[in-house]
Amino acid sequence: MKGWRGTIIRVDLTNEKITKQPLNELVAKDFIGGRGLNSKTLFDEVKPGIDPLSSENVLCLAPGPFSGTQLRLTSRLEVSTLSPYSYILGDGNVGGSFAHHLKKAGYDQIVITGKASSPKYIWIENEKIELKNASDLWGNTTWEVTDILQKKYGKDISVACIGQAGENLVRFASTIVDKHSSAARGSGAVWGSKNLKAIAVKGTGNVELANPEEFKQLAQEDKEFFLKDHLQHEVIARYGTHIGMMSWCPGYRYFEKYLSANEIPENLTPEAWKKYEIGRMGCFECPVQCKDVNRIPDGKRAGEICAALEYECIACMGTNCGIEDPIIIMEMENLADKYGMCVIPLGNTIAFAKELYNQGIITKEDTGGLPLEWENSDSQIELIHQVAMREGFGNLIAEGMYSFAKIIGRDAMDYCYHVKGFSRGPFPSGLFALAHATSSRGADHLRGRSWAYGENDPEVFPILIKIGMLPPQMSEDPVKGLTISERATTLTDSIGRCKGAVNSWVCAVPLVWKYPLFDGLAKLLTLATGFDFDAAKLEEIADRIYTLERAFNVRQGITKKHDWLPQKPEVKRTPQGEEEVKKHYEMLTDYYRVHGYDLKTGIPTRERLESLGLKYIADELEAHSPYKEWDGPPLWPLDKYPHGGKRA
Amino acid sequence: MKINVKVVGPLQQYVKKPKSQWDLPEGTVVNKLLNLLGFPEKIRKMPIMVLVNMKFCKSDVKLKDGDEVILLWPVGGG
Repeated sequence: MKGWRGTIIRVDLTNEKITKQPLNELVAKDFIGGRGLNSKTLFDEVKPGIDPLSSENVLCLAPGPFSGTQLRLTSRLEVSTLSPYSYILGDGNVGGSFAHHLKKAGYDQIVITGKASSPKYIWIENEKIELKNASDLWGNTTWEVTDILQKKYGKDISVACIGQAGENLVRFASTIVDKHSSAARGSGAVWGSKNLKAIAVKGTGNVELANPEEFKQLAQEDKEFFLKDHLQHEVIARYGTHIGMMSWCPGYRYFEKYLSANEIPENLTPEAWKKYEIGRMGCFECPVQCKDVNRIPDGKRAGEICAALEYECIACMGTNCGIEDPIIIMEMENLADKYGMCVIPLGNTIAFAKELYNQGIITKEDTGGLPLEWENSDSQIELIHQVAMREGFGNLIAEGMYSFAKIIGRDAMDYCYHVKGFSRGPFPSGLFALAHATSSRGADHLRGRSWAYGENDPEVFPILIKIGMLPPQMSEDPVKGLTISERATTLTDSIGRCKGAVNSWVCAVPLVWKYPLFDGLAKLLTLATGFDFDAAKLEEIADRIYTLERAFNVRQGITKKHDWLPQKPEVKRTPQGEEEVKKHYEMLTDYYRVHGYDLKTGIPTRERLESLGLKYIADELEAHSPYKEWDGPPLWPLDKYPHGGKRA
Repeated sequence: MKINVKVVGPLQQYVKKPKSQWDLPEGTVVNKLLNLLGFPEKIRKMPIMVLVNMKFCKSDVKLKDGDEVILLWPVGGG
């Protein structure tokens, strides 16, 4: 195959058996790679209703067809599983150099099943794949594991691994790649449940392309664009996602309010971080370098490097928890990376606990004596250690927001502003809320980019369209605009391209600056693979992937009821609140109509599934419906989890 | 010289003097215009995107008579 390497690695941990399987050409053409390929594998191999922390769960890692080629910003790895946190599809897209190496080594996907009887890691060096004893790695942080494996195999490798949080089955534990990049949605706990500590990879082969000369030329033009583009050069390369503090309205003290740019603490503005910065970094050979490299100047971690600090950490672990000290925020970022946890659910669940504490719904009796006043950073850092170790009150937080609220009971659920277990806060009805409500991995800002900016000001879209930052189709009705952005992010995750460093308005559609919407991407895919792609075909592929993901979640008990609008208790059932809900459901109905979902249930119709070549899914949904209604993941008794370990 | 100014999106809320047309001395740079619009100090330190005649520019660019200046946040919807 051209573009793809044509081989999937299958690792059966129970039987300690590694096999290589050919990539099905039809599946590759229909689902492309990365997220599309992983989601298809999960639908086919994960039975609905299983315990995600059991050996029955499946873990997939996949680069895209562009990974390992001359096209830059393509070392993106999709890590997918049935999430032990949300109990729906759980995938995270992560940078670093793993996707590049895996593809160069000769592989389009790794599928991991079963459970090893003792800790293991996987070493891949081109054709060689070995399952190795990881007893000496178990108990170490992600940074230590990476250092140990790099010492053993050389610096020119990439390491994906888990820290103590994954080992202890913290439900929002991440897969950490190359120390600083986190694939979220709880995949780290699935690694831990399978006794898998790490995968190290070194790839030196070539990705064969159908038309290498023309592809190389376009890749060069693309690289030059990123080097010269004003937005990339002046904003993204300088501030990365810190710009979110200006215009993405971070929550303050568990969404008591959303901070406008003028309300951001002086110490947390994008420019304020510059005093700690000693350099910039990026994923494999990225011309943008959107990540900062900071040195912590004082405090307990003085001298430690804090790299790739993002908006999400500052907002979720910082302002939303009432913490405004940048030194503490850097310390928390490093703890999250070392233990291997996603800062969004970690921060927002701690903020939720602080809210309950300050409301008097929980007390020191619940927290094991930890005072959770907003500004108490010592307690918050202690709590992060406890979460990773599943000790004390941290054992409850490690369950994640929704399960934590269920276990606590009382009025906790009234304050649990989640969609399918994930929280990004309560938002007024509109595109932003609709995108969060319908995302195929729970409340999320990176599935359908929500265009909240344009929603609030009709003047913005025409200007952005005129200067080429938005495709003209975005001027049509809002729900259709959301669908376009869903397609763009689905394709981006599937081809293996970054959607972060690239202009957020257009979601990293390659060469969008030169060709309308998906035409540039189709041209590149055709040159890479030798198969004919065009924009219409790509739209159909994106819809196929997204609809399959919806069907996966339907099997987990998701229906229209769960595409809801979370609201604060003081807003619920007020005339204004009810008006918001009414508006939300009107938009949701439009959304279902555009997507071909049943308007009453939110389940993809047979007609829609068949039109996308997914008849087998229609048959399965029909045969087994109705599924047991979603109510979060199956809970374990808290004393049954592994716990403890060495503190970072 | 006459300069047309449009501030769009959430950035609008920080403009103290929301005038759409400004009469400025020849050679005035964008930075000066940003000061005249009355953005608070904190906002001025953030990377406001400047479009002059629909092209991105740095804030030290000199303006010309008839220029249309559009100001906005660089990225939205996160």
